[in-house]
Amino acid sequence: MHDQFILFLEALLQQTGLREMWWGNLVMIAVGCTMIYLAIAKHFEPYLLIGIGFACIVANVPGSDLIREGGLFHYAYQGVNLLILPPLIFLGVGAMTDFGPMIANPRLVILGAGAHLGIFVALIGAKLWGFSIQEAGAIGIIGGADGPMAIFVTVTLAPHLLPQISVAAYSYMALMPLIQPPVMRLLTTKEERLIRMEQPRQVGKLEKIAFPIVIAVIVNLFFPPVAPLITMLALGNLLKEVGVVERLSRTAANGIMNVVTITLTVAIGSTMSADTFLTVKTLQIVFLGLVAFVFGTASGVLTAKLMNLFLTKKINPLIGSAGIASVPIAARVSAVVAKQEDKRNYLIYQAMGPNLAGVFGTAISGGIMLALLLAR
Amino acid sequence: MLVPDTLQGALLLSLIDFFLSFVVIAGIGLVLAAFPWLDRIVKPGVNDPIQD
Repeated sequence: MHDQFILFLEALLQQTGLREMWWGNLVMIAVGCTMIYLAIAKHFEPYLLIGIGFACIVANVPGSDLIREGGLFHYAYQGVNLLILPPLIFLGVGAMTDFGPMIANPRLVILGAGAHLGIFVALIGAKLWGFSIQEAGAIGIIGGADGPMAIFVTVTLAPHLLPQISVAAYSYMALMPLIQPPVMRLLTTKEERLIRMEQPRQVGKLEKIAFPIVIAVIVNLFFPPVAPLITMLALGNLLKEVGVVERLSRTAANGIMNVVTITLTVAIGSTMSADTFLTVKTLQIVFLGLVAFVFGTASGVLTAKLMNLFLTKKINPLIGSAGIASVPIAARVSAVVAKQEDKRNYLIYQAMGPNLAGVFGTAISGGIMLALLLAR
Repeated sequence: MLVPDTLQGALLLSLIDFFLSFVVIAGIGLVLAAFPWLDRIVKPGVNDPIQD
């Protein structure tokens, strides 16, 4: 009987994941706990870090059925793998976004391209470090500071790097208030930071309705690889701007957005197992992501300064860094830095223009990259 | 693959992509610059858009 008792205990033990656990799992569980701590105590992107952190913990408990084939987190990941969730996120983003600042000041949209040099610096750096060109492209897109776009491009070009790239992209977006200001101050003079800009014009309702339709046509015509994302952004925005389908617009901005956010974050976190995450490649990607953000910030500011050489009505170069995307964090950073120099200099509306243009800048850069790297 | 998996390929991809993104974004800017005329369709002669 004693022997049978031991046998039963052994059989039970084999059902658990205890035997497969190694120190790497404990490290990643600590990483997940850190994410949850940062979300709760420091309010660092809580809507993202809670789900990612929790799923990261579960993914590193060997034996969890949730992440195995047939498990709930496995199916959540299929939403990412089949490129269903990122477009739905953009539907919600479009339904929450007012593109008025971008429409009101068309000359500032060029900053949405100028602030993306970081994508290509990271891409070249990754290639120098021995990544394949497709992996390098996926790593470079971190510099676009757009989570769904980073996921979209990575799943297409280098799906095995999704955990590292998505975590790097979302983490650096949350850390923008720390990363950007030193670069912005280094590249501008006090005089430049004090430039005040006129309030942009009022944008009419017909303009706001026409905008998503025009954008959807342009993107589908010229950039089919990224059309799913931008088309859903346009649809969400159209639902918002027509003003006659408020229930749908509220659903897109709230219900759908919340459900998809939970599913997407859990899907990303579930891929953060120690075996795939604790590698030298992860450190390299994290470093290159930082390089991308720093160079993107710098190139945005320098593009604005270059524009000022030709403009009579000068723009405050601090809004150049907002062209990196990551709406509205980057615009907020520009406004805060300007306000630190002059408490009465309110730049948030002006900074939103390049900030929104940056979303399209990332889509265009990503679209061209996908078109060239997938072409045979 | 059209783009060679080399450093030169990465440099070429980067140059073309960066340059083209400026061109396309500028094109979008030009389209947006024409948007104030839409207000004239709604209210011709009234509320003429303020030139930026």
